Amino acid sequence: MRGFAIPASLAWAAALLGLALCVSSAGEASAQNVGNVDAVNPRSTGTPPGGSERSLSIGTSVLHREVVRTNSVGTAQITFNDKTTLSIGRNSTVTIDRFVYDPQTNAGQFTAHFTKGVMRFVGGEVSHHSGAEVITPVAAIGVRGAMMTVVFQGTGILVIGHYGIIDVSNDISHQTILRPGYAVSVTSRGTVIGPPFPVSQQALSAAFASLTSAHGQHGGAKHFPTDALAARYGLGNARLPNDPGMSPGLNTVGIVNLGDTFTANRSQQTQFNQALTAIPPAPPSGPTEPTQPTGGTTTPTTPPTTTPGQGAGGTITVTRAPGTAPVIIFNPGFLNGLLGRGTTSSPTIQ
Amino acid sequence: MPAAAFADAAAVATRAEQQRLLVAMQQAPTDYDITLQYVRVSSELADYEAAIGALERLLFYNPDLTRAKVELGMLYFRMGSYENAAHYFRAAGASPNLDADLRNRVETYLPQAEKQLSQSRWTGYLQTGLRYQSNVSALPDTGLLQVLGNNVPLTNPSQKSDWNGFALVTIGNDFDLQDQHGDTIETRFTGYGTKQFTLSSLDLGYVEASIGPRIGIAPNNWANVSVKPYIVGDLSWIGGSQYLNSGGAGISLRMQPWSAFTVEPGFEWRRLSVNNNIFGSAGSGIGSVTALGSGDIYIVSIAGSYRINDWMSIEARPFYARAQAFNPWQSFDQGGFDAGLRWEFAPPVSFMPRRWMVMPYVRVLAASFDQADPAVNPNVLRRDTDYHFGVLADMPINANFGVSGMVEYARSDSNISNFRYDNISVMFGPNARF
Repeated sequence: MRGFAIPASLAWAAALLGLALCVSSAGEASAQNVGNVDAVNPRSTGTPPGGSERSLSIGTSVLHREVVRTNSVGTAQITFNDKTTLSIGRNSTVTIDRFVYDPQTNAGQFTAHFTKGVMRFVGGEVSHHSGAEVITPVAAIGVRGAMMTVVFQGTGILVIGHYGIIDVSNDISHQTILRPGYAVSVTSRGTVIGPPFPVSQQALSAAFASLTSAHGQHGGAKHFPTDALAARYGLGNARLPNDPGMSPGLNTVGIVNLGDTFTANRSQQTQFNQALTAIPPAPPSGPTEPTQPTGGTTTPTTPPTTTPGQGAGGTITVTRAPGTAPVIIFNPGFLNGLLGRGTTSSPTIQ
Repeated sequence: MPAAAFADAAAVATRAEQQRLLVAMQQAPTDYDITLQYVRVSSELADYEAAIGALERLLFYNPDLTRAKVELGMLYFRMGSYENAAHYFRAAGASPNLDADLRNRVETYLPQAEKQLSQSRWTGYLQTGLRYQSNVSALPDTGLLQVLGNNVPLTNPSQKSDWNGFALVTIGNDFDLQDQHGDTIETRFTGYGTKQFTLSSLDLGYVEASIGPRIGIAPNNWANVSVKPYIVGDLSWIGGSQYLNSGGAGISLRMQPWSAFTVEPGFEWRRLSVNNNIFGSAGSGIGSVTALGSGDIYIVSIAGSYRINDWMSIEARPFYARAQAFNPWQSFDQGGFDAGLRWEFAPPVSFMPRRWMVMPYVRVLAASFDQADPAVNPNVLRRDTDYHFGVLADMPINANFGVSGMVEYARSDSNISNFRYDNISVMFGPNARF
């Protein structure tokens, strides 16, 4: 089925695959038996190389280059020694070209030809460490530590990424799916592959429907797992971790503490203001300035009081009319002493 | 055996058990006890793909196995495969066999999964309630203030503690640009307000907003590395008048070297405008004695989180800040950190779908000022060290509502008596999330 050059992006996989072929056979799975059928709905068949077509059932060994076919109601799941699972949907044809796995190094090789229907690949150790490859008539798909679903649509394919990195290449272009829930569509070997797009719920639901047992089917099992048994093992009982964006945390603490800092600063300033205006009066040292209420126009009817204070390098005169905010006049020597400057200006705070 | 070595040995033993169960399962695929043990052990190892393969096979045998669908939804959710998670949560929710507790969970998680599939994703947390502070006025321990180097008694030492009603809200929006880098535009909004029962001059209002793109960097080679430049601004009011406004910009780099560890160094600059209410007038000039003054502030920080296991994680953020105020006595260098241990656990009642959380935390901040404040004490350079010790608790009741609380002891140590005080606070009230 290989009529086009494998793009350079898969060269890394070829190099690793070459290493895998040199692995001692002592650690490998059987070269003939690539996996086991763990679930099957009829009619699903296998045709070993040079052999005749046989019906698949639970426990059947799948051999190298065996062609697995399902009809309009048949589905199957094959499990491999490295924990990879391959689910084959209705009206599908898959050939396992090669499966080699060394459990000591977790290296290996997985290559399959997929020519029709729907399949889901859930990667195991080989996919995580060496990469896996699925060849279709219109594109080669490299899988790195990934889960994907591939659906034939007419003569083209839809490749849906669920996890990991998926490289899709044809004769003239290449795309990589990096985000779960994104897909690429390949219409032919000679058509540019467009960028990944969010897969529609309809396309996903249709793929799921092709992959699962229909009503009345039980995957070849004579007795079935139940929710009661599943509950005994705690299935479904766990709760997901809370989303930090929807929960309090250090961020919340920071906001509250920032508010406390603001109010503390304001309160400390107010305390200081009050303390400054409460300094005991010294004997009057000069004429007082007329007072003006801040922000108002009322003229005080009683004489203002003057409360001089003692400061470094000069004096502070605090003048206040009853019911008004204090007016502080810093005498020249005071301010200059504070700032260490030689100017003669004396700011007035009113 | 040291704890780390013990953990490694336990992981090796669990992986060996997983391998044993895999072989047994292949020999007897319809021995469901073996399969379910395999699912449990694989989940413990966070080998979610192995668990998913086994669960999807169980659905071959019984397509109505509702608990398998719920479990698959949660496993796909953990892996970030929200499209598959939503599919399985919907399938489980459509089943008449789903018991009430599981239905609660499915109805909680399905909207979260569907939200992740939207281009515009909103999240939010709101809390309101009551807060008590033993020293909201930040009155100094000694009852004395330094004024021009002299000790002056407080004029109103009894006005110290108070209750308030408060509201706090954080809202975020991520707008997904739907490229393979995972680029988004992140918008964040924070609001916090308090209404004191007695000391209304300290009523607080605070709002902050920021916006910026988060850009994935070489996701093919560097998984989960992103950079975010942003602009930020805030407004605040105290006692009904404007207090501190700021505007600025920053940049952060988020990295996830492995799935359990995230680190985010960042730099931020802000221009502050502070109304210190000196003797009833606006401005921040002579006589402005507080730590915060108008000017610039530069902050370098490294936020990090490490997930110890499925239930516990550590969050920490060391930082350094340089405040360059217009008044030199309000300029300072500050270093510190905050850290918390997030501990999640199953709620006491099975119908509650979300985990409960307790987070003990600590914050330490040490500031050293450039110059003595002539109005306070011209001979003493101010040095402050603030400590905050507290516990935060979150108790969701259903998918969207719950209660939360916080208890904190704060201590401000300073070499100037004006700024030496402590404060015990307790806050509690209902919350909402979406």
